[in-house]
Amino acid sequence: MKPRVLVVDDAIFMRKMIADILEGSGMEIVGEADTGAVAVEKYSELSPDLVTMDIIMPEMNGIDAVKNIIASDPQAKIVMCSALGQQALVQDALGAGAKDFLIKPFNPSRVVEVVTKILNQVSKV
Amino acid sequence: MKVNDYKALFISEANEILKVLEEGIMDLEKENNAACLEEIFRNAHNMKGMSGAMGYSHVVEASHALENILDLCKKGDMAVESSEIDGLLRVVDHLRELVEWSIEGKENQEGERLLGEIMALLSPVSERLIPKGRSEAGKDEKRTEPDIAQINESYDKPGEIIAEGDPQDPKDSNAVRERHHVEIISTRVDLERLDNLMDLVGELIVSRIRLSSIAHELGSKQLEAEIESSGKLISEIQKDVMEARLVPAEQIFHRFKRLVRDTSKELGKKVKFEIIGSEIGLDRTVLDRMGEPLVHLIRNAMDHGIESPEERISSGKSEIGKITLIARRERNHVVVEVEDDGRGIDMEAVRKKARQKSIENQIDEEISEDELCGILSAPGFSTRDRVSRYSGRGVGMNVVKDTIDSLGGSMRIKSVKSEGTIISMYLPINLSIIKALLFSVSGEIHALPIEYVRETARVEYGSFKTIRGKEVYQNGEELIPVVRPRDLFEMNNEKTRSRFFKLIIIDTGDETAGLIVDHIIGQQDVVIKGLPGMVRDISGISGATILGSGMIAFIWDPKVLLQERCMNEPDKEAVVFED
Repeated sequence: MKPRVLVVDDAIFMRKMIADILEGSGMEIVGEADTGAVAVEKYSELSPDLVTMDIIMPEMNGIDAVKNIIASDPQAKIVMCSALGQQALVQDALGAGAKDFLIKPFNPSRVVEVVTKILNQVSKV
Repeated sequence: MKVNDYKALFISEANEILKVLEEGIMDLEKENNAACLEEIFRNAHNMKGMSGAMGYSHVVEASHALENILDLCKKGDMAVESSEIDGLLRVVDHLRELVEWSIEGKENQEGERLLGEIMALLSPVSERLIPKGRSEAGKDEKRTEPDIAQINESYDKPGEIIAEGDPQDPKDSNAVRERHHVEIISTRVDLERLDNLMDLVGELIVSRIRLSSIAHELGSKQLEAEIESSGKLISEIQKDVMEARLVPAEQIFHRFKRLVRDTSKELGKKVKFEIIGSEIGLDRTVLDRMGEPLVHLIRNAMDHGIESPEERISSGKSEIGKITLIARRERNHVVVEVEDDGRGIDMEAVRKKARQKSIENQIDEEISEDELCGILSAPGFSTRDRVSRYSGRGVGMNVVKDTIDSLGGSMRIKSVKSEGTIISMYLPINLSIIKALLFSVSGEIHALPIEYVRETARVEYGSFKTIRGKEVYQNGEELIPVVRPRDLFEMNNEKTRSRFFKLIIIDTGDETAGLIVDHIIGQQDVVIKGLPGMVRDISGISGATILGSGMIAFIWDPKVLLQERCMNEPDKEAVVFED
């Protein structure tokens, strides 16, 4: 079965880019969200295998979304998507339970590598 | 993955971001609120991310610098000062230019200059925000890069930049894969593709009409029924494609906020600008062409309509003038209006000037809306003299009128002294396919846009009357002037000697007339084709269409036809009917 991924970013451009990369390596994009609040909602609705999470978003930012998701599912696999210069925020997100991070602009092979690694950790758990 | 696959998406999202940046900065000028600052920051941040993915390094650097300044404001709880707003708006202008150059692949040509200007505009702001001795905007983050490397080391290998890879690598091409997203409710489609679809639908309609006439000739009822039902499907496709092709007025309306802001500063006037109906959809071509005329009209309203604060106060008005830009649907038109509560058009000055310029031979004391529109948009009416001394709005009005005319629309001006002016433009929703009533005169088939057809009638010759030398048709209480095609065009006489006539009652909103024709063929969707050079300038003909038989039918423009006929009447009184 294809791994099911929820893509969270407030920019359509970024969502399409990451979705294309992941679908290209055999994953299924089960949902997209453009705010942290929608992400939390969709996570509980779709129970994806993995979430790619942007940090700076309207309504609820990515870190608060991680906290909310982890609170309801401590096993949630979340990979943060950050820009250069957001190291403090990345640290916060990792502290809140995110499993790894990706730096924009994305390198496709790097994205697949990180996501696959985290997905495999899931199966071990 | 191919960078080009993302270009269209980048363009549309970058434009949206630039719009939010511009409007957000103007909002900051009115009120410094944290939510607004957050939104601008987020958009500058997204611009950086997207440009990075596209490999537009100058845009990355510029948006990064802007993002930094906004971040400093956010974190330090510091406001953007009103003196800095102009500079920030110029940054957005330059950023827009930089994005355009980058999209065209010519970032290297102007990139350095524009980036330099952006940095120069931002540096006084960052100097104010950052205590002396610290770095300026744009350089701040670079200092901290080693930190991210540390995090990277502790977790995994560092992230790389996509632009360093091969964006053309076919292995990365994911373009044609099917997507199975849950709940995707909208998607962005390249406009060129929609235009192409619209053309194809037009061809389908023509082909369907041809098939119908063949089926009719063959006398096959079954084939006719089949073609009829495929025709219904084609109509549905046409409707959907047409709707999809409409662009919300917002796409050009938003840019006038900035125009009003800048112009009011320049002129020292206070203006509240309101937009109503920005969600109304217009044909993309119409919308594109309306940009310039609207700039003219809004500038005129600000320059000549709205009075100075002092003048407004002394005439008992609020010192803040109001300009409203409105879009609304009305029957088969979109009406776009520019309304101001300024001093109105000085009719006396218009009359005087029109007499001087001999634009109208006879100018009555009362100028009707149509006359006013005609006078103001006559070429040459706008002179420096008039602009500076009178309160009218002649500047470029002929250009505005020409644009509206060429789009097949019309314009009306309503003005009340000391109260204000409303300029209304009636524009077609769709430029390529219209519903028309086909009729024949002297063996030739013609088309009338259905929106001008009030009714059709079969009338006896005896029901025509002659009043003051003019032929009229009595329709109940109403007397309708009768028009014969030969009065409008040099055509052969229509069938005479008949006891009955086919009459099409035309209603243009301004005028009503009964047109005598030989046969009324019926309603049909027609695809408008441009006219060839020879006949392009025939007044009263807006285009042509190809019929199922392969014949060409001219599409009439009753507004122009009836107006001209009215102006050519020697005795204007004759069109006023009194029972």
